[in-house]
Amino acid sequence: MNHTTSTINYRNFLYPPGGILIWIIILLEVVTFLMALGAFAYYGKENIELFRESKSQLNSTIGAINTFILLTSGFFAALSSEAYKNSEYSKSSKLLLFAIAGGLAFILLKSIEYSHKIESGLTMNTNIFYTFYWLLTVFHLMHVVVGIAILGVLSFKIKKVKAEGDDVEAGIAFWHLCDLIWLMLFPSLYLIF
Amino acid sequence: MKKHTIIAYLILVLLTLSTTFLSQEKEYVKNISMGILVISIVKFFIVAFEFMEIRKAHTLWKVIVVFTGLLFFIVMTAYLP
Repeated sequence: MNHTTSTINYRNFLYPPGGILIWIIILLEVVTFLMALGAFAYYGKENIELFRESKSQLNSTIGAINTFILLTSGFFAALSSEAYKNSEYSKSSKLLLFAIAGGLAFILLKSIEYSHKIESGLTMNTNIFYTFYWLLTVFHLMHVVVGIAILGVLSFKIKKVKAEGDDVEAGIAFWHLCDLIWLMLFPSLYLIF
Repeated sequence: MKKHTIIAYLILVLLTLSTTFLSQEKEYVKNISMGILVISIVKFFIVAFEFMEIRKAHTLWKVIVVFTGLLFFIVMTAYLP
């Protein structure tokens, strides 16, 4: 049976869009990354020259393209959510496939970036900057992989008209979490210092 | 397709381009870094409020999201060289 979200009162504190459980997860994830970024910034101030030199070895153009890809993917996910609420299930399912394509493109570009770093000998043990770089970006990449799997299942279920409204919103909210985390990582790792 | 979703997306793309260009500036590094962080927070809020539709949620959720975004800004600016 299919349930739309039209009857849910989002003004109720216990029912934010996607449900309270996914928002608890989102907040925990964001706070976890915030703590790591706090440590990154602290060591950045302690090792200013090292961080500036290491940052200059990162390709901010690739980072910007990856940001563009993730935002575009998030845009398609948001459109999919709208289509689902309008009971346009086929359109919603297809839009999620575009969102998944964006996620796969992000992984591809990140893999290319990683391979260049490894070839240049810039691994996790190179210095404290790269320890944070690898930990933060790989942890984020794991979220992207999980998000793609969730969107894949949702797309299939929506197409078969077997998806629950809450599940669709929660799954798409998780995908946007990947955007949120990247929006914190991109300036911190690639742009400032 | 809602108009405000498209507008939000276009603003996000423009802001991403602006931060990338700003980061090329080699002078006034601290001010530029602050500017980049402010723009990043705006992007964070656009994704949360528009794409994740937190604008429809209870006020407390909006406050939590704004607080989280500001916390990121404070954490990063506190240690800017």
